[in-house]
Amino acid sequence: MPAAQRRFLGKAIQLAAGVLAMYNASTVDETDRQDIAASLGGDEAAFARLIRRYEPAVAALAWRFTRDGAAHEELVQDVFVEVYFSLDGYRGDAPLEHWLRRIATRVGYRFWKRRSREARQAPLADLDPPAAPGETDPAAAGAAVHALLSHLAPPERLVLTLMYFDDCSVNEIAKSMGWTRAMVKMRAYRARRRLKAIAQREHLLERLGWTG
Amino acid sequence: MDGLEAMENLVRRARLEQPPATDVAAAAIGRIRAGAGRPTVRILPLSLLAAAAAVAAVVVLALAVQAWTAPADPQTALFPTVEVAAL
Repeated sequence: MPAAQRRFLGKAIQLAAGVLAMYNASTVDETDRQDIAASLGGDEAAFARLIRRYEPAVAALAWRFTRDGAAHEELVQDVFVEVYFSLDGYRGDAPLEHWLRRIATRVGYRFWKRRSREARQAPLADLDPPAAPGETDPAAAGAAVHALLSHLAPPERLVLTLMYFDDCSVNEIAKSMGWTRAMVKMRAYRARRRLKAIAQREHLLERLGWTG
Repeated sequence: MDGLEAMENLVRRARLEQPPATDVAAAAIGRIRAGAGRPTVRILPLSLLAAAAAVAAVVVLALAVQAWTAPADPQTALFPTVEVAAL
């Protein structure tokens, strides 16, 4: 077989494998499918099963939006209430968790927008773990990141949160929020620039004991 | 290390944090049962808009019918019978 044909065949096989992988990745779990159908039929127990299955993932995402225990619990509830009323719009072309995460992100973003009108910024006073970068307590680090990001406007804060914590790409954020790619890039750029200024103004490195 | 690098280091540590566990199934279903969070559609503004659109449509239709049933092409008024007089 000539080299060109072999290369073409190799590419075709790679492409087919990619398509197959995408198909498998987007297949909805059978248990989810059954519970969604039952929930749409009004079966509360089925919806409760869905909630329990995905609550840890949603709660982890909601924790990026608020670190207040009561507000966090309410935010997780808000997500599942919105999921229930949007369930008939779920087409099943992506795993349920992806769809839930998208809803949770939007609910969290709305929460930030409401809170930003009340001008709530977390205090930076509790940035006190003078440890080496690799030894900082994760909860203290989480609180510090939350406090720093709370000084940004909600759109910029969202872009950085999704990029930093969920490794989301520009495309994914754009698709999730209905923004253009250029808008996401611009917000990320502005957010980083502002964050750098805030870190300098608040003497972040000194507070963390990471200077020198 | 600058402020952004410090931030990225903090994020790497923060990603290891375990968020608090929640149990919202009963409360969420209670809210769903109560109808909270159901998207509501406000009828009055939509009704007013529909009524205004209907009135405008009727006016346009009346004018169109009138023009359609006119005995002659209204444009003929633009061409007076000068040529005939000249003959």
